[in-house]
Amino acid sequence: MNEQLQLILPELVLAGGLCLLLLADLIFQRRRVWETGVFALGLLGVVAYLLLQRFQAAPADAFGGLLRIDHFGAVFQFAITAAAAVALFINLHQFRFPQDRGRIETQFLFLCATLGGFVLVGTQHLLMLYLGLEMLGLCSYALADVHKRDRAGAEAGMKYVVYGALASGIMLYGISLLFGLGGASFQMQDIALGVNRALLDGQAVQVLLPLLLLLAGFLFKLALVPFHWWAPDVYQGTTTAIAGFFAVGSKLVALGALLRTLALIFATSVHGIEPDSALVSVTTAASEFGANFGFVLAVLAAVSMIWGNLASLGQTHLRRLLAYSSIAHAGYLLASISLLSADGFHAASTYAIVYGVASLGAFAAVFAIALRAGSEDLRDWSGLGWQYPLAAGSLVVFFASLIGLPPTAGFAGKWRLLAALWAGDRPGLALLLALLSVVSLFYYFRVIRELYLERREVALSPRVDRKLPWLAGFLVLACVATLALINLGWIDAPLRLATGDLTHG
Amino acid sequence: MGDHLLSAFVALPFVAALIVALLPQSSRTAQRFVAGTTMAAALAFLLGLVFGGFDSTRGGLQFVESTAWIPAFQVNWALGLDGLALVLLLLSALIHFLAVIATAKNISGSKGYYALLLLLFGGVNGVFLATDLFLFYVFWELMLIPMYFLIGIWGGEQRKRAAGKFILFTLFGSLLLLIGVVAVYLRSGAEGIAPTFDIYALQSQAASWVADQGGMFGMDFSSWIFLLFFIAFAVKVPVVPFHTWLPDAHVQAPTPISVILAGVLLKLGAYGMLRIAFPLAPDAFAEFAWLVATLGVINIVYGAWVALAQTDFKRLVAYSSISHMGFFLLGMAGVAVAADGAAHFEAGTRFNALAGASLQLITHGISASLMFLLVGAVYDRAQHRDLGRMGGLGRVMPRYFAIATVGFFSSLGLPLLAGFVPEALTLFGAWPAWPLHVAVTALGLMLTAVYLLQAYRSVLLGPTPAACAAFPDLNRRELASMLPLVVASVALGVAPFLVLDLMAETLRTILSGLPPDILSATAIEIPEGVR
Repeated sequence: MNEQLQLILPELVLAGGLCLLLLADLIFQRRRVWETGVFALGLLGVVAYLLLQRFQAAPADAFGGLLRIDHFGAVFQFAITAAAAVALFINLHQFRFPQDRGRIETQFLFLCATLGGFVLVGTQHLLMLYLGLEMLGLCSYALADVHKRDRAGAEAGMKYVVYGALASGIMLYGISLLFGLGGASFQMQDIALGVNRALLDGQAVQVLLPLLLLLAGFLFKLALVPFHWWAPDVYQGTTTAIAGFFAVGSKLVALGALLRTLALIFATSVHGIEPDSALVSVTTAASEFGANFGFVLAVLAAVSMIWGNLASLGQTHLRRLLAYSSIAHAGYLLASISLLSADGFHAASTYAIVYGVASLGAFAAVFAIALRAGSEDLRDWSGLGWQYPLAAGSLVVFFASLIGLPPTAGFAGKWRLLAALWAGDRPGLALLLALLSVVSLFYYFRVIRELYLERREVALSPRVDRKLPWLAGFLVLACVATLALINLGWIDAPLRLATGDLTHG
Repeated sequence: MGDHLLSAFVALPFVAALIVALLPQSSRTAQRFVAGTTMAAALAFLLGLVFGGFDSTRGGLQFVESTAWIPAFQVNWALGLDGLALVLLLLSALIHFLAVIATAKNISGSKGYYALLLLLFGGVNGVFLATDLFLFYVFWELMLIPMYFLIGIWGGEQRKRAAGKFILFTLFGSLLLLIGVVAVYLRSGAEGIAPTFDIYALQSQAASWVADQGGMFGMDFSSWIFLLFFIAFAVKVPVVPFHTWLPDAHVQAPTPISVILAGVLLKLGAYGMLRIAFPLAPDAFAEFAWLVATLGVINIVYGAWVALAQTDFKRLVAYSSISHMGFFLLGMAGVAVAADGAAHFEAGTRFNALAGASLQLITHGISASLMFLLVGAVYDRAQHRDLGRMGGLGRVMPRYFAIATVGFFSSLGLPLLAGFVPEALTLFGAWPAWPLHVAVTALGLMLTAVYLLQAYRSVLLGPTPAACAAFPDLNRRELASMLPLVVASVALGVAPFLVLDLMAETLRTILSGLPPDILSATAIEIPEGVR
């Protein structure tokens, strides 16, 4: 048992820290928000350090297959830890709205959601997957609502809960069907065998239906069409820190879990190996089914890409714009996943990291500018680029990365996607992605144009005169990361290994 | 140092941009000094190479260097210099240097301006030197954002619209380029062989792409590659009908930026055609040569025709740029068609066409830059560019009169000035293959003479309106920015071999259709002064 506990040390530390944070709330009566925030950040730092240890160890199952400890999971656990840390960090800077900043609950919820994300991406067991998703989801609903300031915020929170409940209900139904298919087992490997057996019997519909239902939960978390409606309202209705966490943290772990699930169920086509050597004739049936399922995913991806990009065009509220564009980015990710090949999965995880860095940076920069401008409406931002050179300059770098212009990381990421799509015989999708990048230039550059090319007529009355040296430091760091990641060297080979051992061992 | 000579050269402007960015906002002189010195140092370095170090009797790449950069996609930091690149780099360094001189000393937001100018310069240098397609693309795109801001912030009334149009057209072209790069890269890999981005390794594979029948819409892979690359570069040249961004960008951009746009950036599209589209798909180029030739003639005649109707001085010069770049296309068509029926043509004909096309890049760079500086000088005094409200400046501004005469007549193609030789060479080279096209070009030449002489008359001759009577003559700064171009124009008119000799061997290599022999950097003795 002791060894098992050793395996989940990061999760244990995180859970222990959570309890301490709750206690602190009781003891300090909400007066020590800054200190608890620093504590929470420190806790995340320790967890990140422990996660790094996970990269040294060999993959292992814990608690009889309930949890799966491997490099792939660790990559995405690391990502959500980083996203939570950035969100907490931004949250601490909310001087203007003490009620937003001043709640230990917010910090607690961030950490709790992170723990949910850890479970979600670190399991091959469908029930645990559902638990992780719900833990992440419930904390997110609370986060979205905790700062409601007006009717719009309340409405957004409500929408989020209702849509979320619907999606997870559908997903649970899919899981129950898969449970039956897999011979009364929640283990993904057993389900994969059951799926293959059913396909061999020609029961493609019986397989397709539960898989599509299962997909619903992931589509909701990734904010993909047709489960995307919540994203713009929620992003706009909460604070920048929380929106950033939703756009990067929870999106990335959901992506990791989706990759893991698909890799195990479509092991035949993803890795070209049999899940079980006894079932040789299964290959053709499975790969045919895989191709059809991949096509469904490709259609969903194309719709999300188009919808996200076109809807972004008309937005003037910055967070709403980022919300729609994040739908588009999730579409790019799904496009590459739809290949159901190791190459496609590798490209998707690479792009996810690259997107995560640029997107978090963009949220931080938007926060920094909005804090001074007193508004998150684009039209109030005229000429601010000259007043806040660092924040605005960083925003240019992050937007360039999100568009995919060299020499930023976004270019290398998009390159990976395009190459995977082209090589995977989906040139149409590659072409669409390239064309939509031009469309994305319109709305990202509209912000840059407002910042630099417009002249300011009304004098600015900054809401905060205080300097934000920590935030500035973060922006510089994120810019450097965005530019340096074009090399992809740090993440490419580890990610290839990590996606490689999804089904092995 | 010798091994990384080109890397250091490429890095120089970026370092300088960083220095400018770190200087205090108010120290305009220091910012200007850093920018100017960087361009001058680059120019001096290149001249040093010309007089020693660069071996113009060899057609291959020199000072080659290659380091693994992104191992995940076999991307190398690979640079190499040949005659064509050297000549264009010289042009670019000169024009950028003059652009710094031509910039008003009290320009607002000078820090951002000079930093962006240096970034642009670095991107241009990188494009000319990169021998790895991926690296080429990175530098290609690197120029996009500085140019957007330079037009969009320091431009005229309609600057936002012009900057937006510029970036959209350019990005559209870039994406076709990107798809072409992806396609070529993935095609180059085979079972057990890693794909490559090396332009010359790709070139040696290109022959096998022609046989690859049954692609999309029945076109072979080679044709697809050609069309992707050709359209991508055509946006930048610009080729009609992808030209509409150019007049807007030119008119709205501040004078120094117009100068760089006409003098350097348009040449990049042409360079891409010579360096990538032609070598990677020579047969497809020959197959589509009729298209290239026709587009070339349309550029020449249409550009001149529209220029005829302009009342805005700067717009007129912009359309004349479009017209002049048509000669480049016509020259390329003369090169390409001969590839399949080489027996009909003497080898010299193809060389003439290619030499004319390449030389046109240089001479147009010089004369168009001079013209934009002349437009800028008038605009600074009159605050408008309306040809109808000018006149008689020759009497008021004698120095301006002298320089403008060289500029106009060089643009017109008068013998003994720069514009004549490349146009004549191009027409000689293209005549055997495209007699009809050359005949139509004669109409374009006539129109060119008409619109340029009309503009010459309405700016410089005739009675001086009262509003223009008090214009001061060119000051020292303006003279300093224009005189080098006047000298270059006369020098190239009298002795075009100065430039032709530098690039002749490179052009022969390109004509041979084979990848150049790659000379290692160490094989070349670098003189003391350069090191």
